[in-house]
Amino acid sequence: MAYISQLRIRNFGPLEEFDYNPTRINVFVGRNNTGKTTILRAVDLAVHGNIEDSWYFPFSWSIRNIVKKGKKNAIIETNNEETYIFESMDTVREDLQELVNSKLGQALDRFFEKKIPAERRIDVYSLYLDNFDFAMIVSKNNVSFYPYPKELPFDAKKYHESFSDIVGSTKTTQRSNDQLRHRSLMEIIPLSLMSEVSRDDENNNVNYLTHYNKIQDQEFTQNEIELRKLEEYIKENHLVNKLDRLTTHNVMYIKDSGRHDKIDIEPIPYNMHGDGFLALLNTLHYLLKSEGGILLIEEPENHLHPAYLEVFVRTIFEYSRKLNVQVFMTSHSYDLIEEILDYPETDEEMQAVCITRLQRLDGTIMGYNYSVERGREVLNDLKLDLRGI
Amino acid sequence: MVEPSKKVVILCEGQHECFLVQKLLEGQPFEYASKKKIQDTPRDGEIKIIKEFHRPRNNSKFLIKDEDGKDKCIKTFCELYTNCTLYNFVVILDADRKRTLRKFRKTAKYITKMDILDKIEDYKFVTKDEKKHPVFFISPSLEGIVKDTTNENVDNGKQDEQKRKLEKFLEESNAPWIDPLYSALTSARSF
Repeated sequence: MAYISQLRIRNFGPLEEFDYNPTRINVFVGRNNTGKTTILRAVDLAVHGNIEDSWYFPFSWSIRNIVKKGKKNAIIETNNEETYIFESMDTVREDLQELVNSKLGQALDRFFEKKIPAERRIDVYSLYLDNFDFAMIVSKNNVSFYPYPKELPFDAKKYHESFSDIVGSTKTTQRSNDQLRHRSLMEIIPLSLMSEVSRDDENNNVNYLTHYNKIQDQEFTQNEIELRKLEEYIKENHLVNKLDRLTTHNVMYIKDSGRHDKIDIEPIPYNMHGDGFLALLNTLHYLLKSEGGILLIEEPENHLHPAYLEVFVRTIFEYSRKLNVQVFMTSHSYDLIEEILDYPETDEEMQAVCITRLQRLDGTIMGYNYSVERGREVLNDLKLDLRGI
Repeated sequence: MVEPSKKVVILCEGQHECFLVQKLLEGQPFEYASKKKIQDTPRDGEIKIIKEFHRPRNNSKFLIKDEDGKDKCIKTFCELYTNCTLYNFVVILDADRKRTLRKFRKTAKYITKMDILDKIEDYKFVTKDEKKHPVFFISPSLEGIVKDTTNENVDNGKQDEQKRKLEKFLEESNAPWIDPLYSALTSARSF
């Protein structure tokens, strides 16, 4: 999916009803807990057909919050293609039940086929299904399952003993529940049944730059060509003083030797740099690797010096057009919004951006879209703050 | 202790409406954000003024804002109506033979995507949400009714002179909107 022109969200997380026609650059602002990140996650989920590992916590019910409380299922529709999310087996739509059951059977077979003899699998499946329910993501060609215990706290020891009884294991366990959770349970309980889709599918080039990725991901150091591109970009825009080279392990700085005929180079490892520098490199890296796809960014202003915001905004406008990248970002920054509204000069640039303020009114989240023209009016003429007060 | 959620922001079309409200609120702590004060505040000036007013350590119960014209007053209210759910608002505009009401409805539809006003009287409307923010339309205009009542031109003279004329107007006038306006200003805090 190269470009999303229509996004419809129903009952996903805190969002009950959200309809939006994305542009090339989409900025979501608003108070905390108004669904900004949820929109980025919805895009990520709809395109991949599954969720990032970090969302899923086995042995808890947190995954059930993926569907708005009190609702049976969530729907995310992108370009008229629907993805359904169900919080339990009981809520699966009738016409999808056969597909879900068949995919669950296949997923369980894949997990157990080398571990359990065929004649005992049916009892193991029964034990598993008696103890676990699933949140499910049903997309065009795939179903992903996210198991959670039907009852909490989950009695891991009892489950392990029942499992041992079925498979006839001679092993008895003296381990506590906590130990079991992290070790042998992984071998006997399918904790995530992601089915057939991978998040690395090249046809779905969606990259999610979370706060964590921004400062922890060092993927950019793995590719020499990419490092060259980042290095050139930094030099062109004078973003880092005295930068000589970016190498796979170090940032090479030009050091003043005190002599005219000699230049010293000082290597400093990436992990010795601050969050701001790593966030800058990762933001550029994610933008470049999103060519022809979608880039999701959480609060790009974080860790960046305000002076870099102008460069960031210019880069987003130029590169998103050049590399055909659709950008969705969240922000709390007045400066960033101001830069984004200031930048467009041509009609094409004006049309390329939409700022949406999300607002919780009487418990319901509403979205208010600001074109560049209206955003400028609010900021410059009315001197108001379109992020909300 | 002042409960922040009960503070009132009064959006006035112009300076005269602000003076009138100040007179009505005499003896009560209020803040006045004049046109000049708003213009001189850098960047997100209006929000800065509102935020400072909102802080718990600020003991003023009312913020009177000069919106410097009908258009800006309506637009500001409509933006704040969806943007800012923490305050009670009172809006004071000249009726201008219902032209202002039509402008208000059109602007509200554009900004909030809703028809937000319910009519109470010819001169008083309230928003449809549970807060029922009152919007007053003074007919034909504050300047016009002052002239009709006192035979004085409130546009003439220095600020003190203008305030005196408005005071005289309040003493002599029996315009039907004065008591409801006073009541809306003072009872708004108890919503």
